[in-house]
Amino acid sequence: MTDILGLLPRAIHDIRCGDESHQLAWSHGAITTLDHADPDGERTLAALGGQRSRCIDVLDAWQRQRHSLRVLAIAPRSPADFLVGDDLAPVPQSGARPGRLSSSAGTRWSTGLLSRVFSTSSAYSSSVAFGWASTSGGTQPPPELAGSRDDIDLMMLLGLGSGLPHRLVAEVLCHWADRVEELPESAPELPALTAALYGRATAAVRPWMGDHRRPVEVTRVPSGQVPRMTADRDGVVLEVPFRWLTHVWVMGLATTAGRLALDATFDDGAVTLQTVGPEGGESTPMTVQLP
Amino acid sequence: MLAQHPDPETALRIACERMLLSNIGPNRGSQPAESAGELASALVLLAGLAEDAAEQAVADYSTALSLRGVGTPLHFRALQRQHAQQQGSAAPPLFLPTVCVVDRRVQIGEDLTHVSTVTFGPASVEIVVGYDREPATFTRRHAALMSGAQPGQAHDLTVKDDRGVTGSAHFSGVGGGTEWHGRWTTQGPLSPTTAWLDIEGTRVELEHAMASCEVRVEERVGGPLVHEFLWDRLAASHHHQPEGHAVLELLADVGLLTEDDASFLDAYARVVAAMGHGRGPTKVKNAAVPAPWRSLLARRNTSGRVLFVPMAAMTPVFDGFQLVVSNLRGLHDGFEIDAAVRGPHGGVARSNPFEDDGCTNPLTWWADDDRGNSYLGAWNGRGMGPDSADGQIRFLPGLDRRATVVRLTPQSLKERAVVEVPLP
Repeated sequence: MTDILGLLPRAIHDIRCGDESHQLAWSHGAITTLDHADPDGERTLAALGGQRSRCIDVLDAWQRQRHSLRVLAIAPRSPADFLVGDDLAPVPQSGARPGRLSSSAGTRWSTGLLSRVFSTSSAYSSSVAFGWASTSGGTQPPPELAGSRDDIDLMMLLGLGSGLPHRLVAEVLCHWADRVEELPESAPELPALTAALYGRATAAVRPWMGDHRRPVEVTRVPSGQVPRMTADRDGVVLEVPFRWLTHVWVMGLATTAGRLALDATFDDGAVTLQTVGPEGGESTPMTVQLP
Repeated sequence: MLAQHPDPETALRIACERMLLSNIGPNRGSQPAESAGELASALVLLAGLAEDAAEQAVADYSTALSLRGVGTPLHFRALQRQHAQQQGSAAPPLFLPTVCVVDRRVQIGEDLTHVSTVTFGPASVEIVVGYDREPATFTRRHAALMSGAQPGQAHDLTVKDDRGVTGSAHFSGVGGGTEWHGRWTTQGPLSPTTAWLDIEGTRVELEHAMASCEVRVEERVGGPLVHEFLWDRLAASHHHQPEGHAVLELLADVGLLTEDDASFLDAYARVVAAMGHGRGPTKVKNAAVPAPWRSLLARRNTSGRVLFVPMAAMTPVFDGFQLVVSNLRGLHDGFEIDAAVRGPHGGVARSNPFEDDGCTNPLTWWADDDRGNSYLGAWNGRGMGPDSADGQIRFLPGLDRRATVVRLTPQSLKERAVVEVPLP
């Protein structure tokens, strides 16, 4: 099986951690911190009442969410689909006192994106997204205001910059792509996986066809079946395997040279795409040399 | 491979994807007419979708939409959850009030007061009053509030019954010009059988003559459940007609609406058009509109009989709901009752498409009379909790002057209560 995660470029993300600027690095499906020599030791200290660091919080949230189907429901469907946090993420005023909850005085509301807050604010952890934060470096919201652990994780991870959210989605998709064919028809994961394919395929097809209201029907077919697309004035019917998400969408190859890619195979530094034009019909191969 | 008709959860999630995709790119900011919760409710009620699967899908897509600027922001939802938890589910128990008609003008303190009715409850008495100028109560209350008094502190009045029990009452009300109305509410109960009340030294005689109402619960008899659901949905939103077709599309996706439903969908579309959708009603031949909508549409601008019927009735529990209706008031453009509902969300449908919460199985407030007329009601001011709603239901159109009985028929998807109110 192709190591899609290994084909994605490495990503480095600067993050404020305490009073310092640290870096998170993602590569080959693993996220690490470049500035904490002993994350496990820090976790142990935190469990004993020590202060948690933002870098470790991100790593832990990532581990909890890397197979989560909620990621697929919430994360962007395309580059044009960006998440906003205008009234989700308060940015503290410079005079905010340590330990003070910013949901009261000492808070102003951000007008930026989630990523702006999460990538630039040092002491403001995942809880920021829900309207509170502590400047003491603590990361837990008041329990009565907290969303679910999932919500808090996702707000933190999807607010990261430098392409990390896309890599999180890629990890989730690759995890499930390895399993989807073996799932029974009644598997509880299938509705979310089918919807993930529908949403991302539709988000690729509509702008490619220049019609953002075009009816699109997406059918998930077994990986051995030849993918295809038919189009008429009633809409578009796409028949693709689930791996379209990992091999095509994750790799940013959905539309290449004006054609829609229905499948991709990777071989020796090159990718061969099965592509169709807007009229559909038989797919034709297109080979792209990867850097 | 997707089946011809996907399973309900897949259909729900794909419908939610459509909603979300309509907020990407040039369509960003378009507000969906239906919420994820509304779509989920339809499938829970009609297609056997498990509630936990529905709730998870709604949570996923409500969060996804919030992060695209649609619907309730996440931190508001956290606060709503906190508020709901604090509220708990302990709504006050239902009670059958005793209602007395007074309909007299009496001098109470400095104000000539029209006392309409007195309603006795287990913990308080409500005296409904009106004034033709700003009552001194208002003036003094305003002055007291301006000087720092707490609302309700400054201008109590004393009410006594014929057993010698005394209560202190506070005022709430609104008005302007020559029309002011409100109610005095005592802080404790008084005898519901008292012959009179002494209000600040003025004796007010009470007439104990409540209408006797027959109450029963019966199963709904109608068409297929999916048709009844759609009619109910239309009825529950008749003040703000459902604009979107996502629910219809979803029901078709899961095979609950098919070509066999063409005649139903024609009738449904005619009613939707005739109701206007906020764009002004379209003229539709009445014969083409099914009952009970036909009567409703035919009489929608008729002037009604003005009257007051002192009454109170409590229904048995039906489909998880129990309710008390009281005080039928005939108005020029409709009629109104007081209502108290106990059951999930008070049987109140979502008031806007972005609420996550709301009743999956809202009550629809129909009524009819012995002249063959139909009436449709909606909440007209209410307070509500997770398991209750208390307020007034306003029915349209006005009461037929020749009617001698009006039947209130609040209904859920499967059952309905019938309260027969004799009209004088």
